[in-house]
Amino acid sequence: MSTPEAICTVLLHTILAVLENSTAPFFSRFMQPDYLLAAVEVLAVIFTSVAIAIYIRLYRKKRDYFFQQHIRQSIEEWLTATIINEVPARDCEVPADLTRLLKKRFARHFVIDELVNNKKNLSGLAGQNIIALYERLDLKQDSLKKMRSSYWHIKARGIQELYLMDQQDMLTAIYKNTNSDNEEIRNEAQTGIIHLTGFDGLRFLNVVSYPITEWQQLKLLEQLRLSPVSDTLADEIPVWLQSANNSVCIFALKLADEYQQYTIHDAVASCIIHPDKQVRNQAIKTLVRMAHDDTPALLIAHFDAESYSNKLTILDGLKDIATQEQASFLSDILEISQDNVIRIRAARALAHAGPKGMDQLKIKAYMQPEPFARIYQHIKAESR
Amino acid sequence: MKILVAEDEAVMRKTLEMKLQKEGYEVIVCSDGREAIGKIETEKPSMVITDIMLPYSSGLEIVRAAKAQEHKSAVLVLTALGQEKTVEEAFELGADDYMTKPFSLAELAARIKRLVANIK
Repeated sequence: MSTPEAICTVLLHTILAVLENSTAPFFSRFMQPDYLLAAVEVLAVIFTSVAIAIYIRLYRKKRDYFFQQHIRQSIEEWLTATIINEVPARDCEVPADLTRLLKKRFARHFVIDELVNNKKNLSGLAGQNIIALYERLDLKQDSLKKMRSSYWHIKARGIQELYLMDQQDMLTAIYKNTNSDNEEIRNEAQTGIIHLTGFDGLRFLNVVSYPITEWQQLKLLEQLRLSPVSDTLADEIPVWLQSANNSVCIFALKLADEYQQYTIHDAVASCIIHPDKQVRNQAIKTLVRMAHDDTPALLIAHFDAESYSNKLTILDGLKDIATQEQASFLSDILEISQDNVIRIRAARALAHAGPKGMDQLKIKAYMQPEPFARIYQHIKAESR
Repeated sequence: MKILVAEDEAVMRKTLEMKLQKEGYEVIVCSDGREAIGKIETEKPSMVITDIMLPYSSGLEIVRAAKAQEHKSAVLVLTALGQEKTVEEAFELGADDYMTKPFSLAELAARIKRLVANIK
């Protein structure tokens, strides 16, 4: 037997011997009837405690459920009747049992949730009644508490409740959160000030340093559609286009597009040389939608310097605005480019560039069947 | 005139129910799409007011079910902002009108009256 193996065997035997000597008294001691009985008693106590805990938990859950149902039944009918009432709810009488119920936090939260959900769905007199009820039942204090919470999700919820209930006096407090480091809080605050002040609320764009996500931009645009367009928008967009926050530039470009701000075409066109690729991409889309006479030439002038994805965006844009004047450029791209995606997009734009576009493609397909015959067939199939 | 309301939010459902009852209609309410489709077949309502987003079956499926019936109920679809594409789909399936949330109950009542006049 080699030396290391011998050492291992000796070690193993030593460990086993030590274990045998030390555990034998342990087992013999705890196998005594007294100890066994004590162990059984301890286990019985543990099992009973667990069973009681489970029972209490289930009992509380059941009690809460019935309490919720009770609140729902007590409040729902009255709430609905008050909302649809054609008399303003400001001076409505709150039933005594309801007032008693509303001292419970759960009941107040239930009412706030129901009012908020309904406020999202209803406008007009019913919408006004919801706000009046919220104020009449003094629920604003609950929303304020939420807004002061250190938990982001509660804070965001509080902001939402306050703006949906048109609490104009909370404007400053909400505005302070438009550049919060938490995205959810920031999003709710930005939506909130637009909800409360319409286009004036866009002043947060002057200070916001965090990115505005694409989803949030969509939400803001939707919110703005509910307000009359500001007369000063054309003066403000060029300022936002200079923002160091690229998402602000992108959003400003979307505003120029959505509200067709032709007077600031030059400011929009200047974004075509913006250092950020995504800003340039949005600038291309906005310019296409503004459809100025110079746009096709401008896009063509910047085509070579652009990134691959922006080249595709330019070609997609040219499909909508190119005329016969741009046909030679598109034809050249078809010839020069080795990339099939670019070729297809160029062909599609060429087909739409005036009545002769399709004929030009056909001639190319005849002169050089590979790859133009396939491209021609593809575009032809699309136009059917 | 029997109107079926399919809406998953309890208070909103109750609000629509009470408002329509106040206007003199007989109202059937459902909280999910599957239930609504079942009631369209059994109750044969003259009109269906449905939210687009419903549990189990969407508002679009309800439109399809309402228009597949022999009596072809009139359908008014309730949508949220930004659901224009869904509205287009609903019209393709035969929806008669739509309203974007938030809407006023007075306007809803007016739209229903117009649809009722068309049915008659």
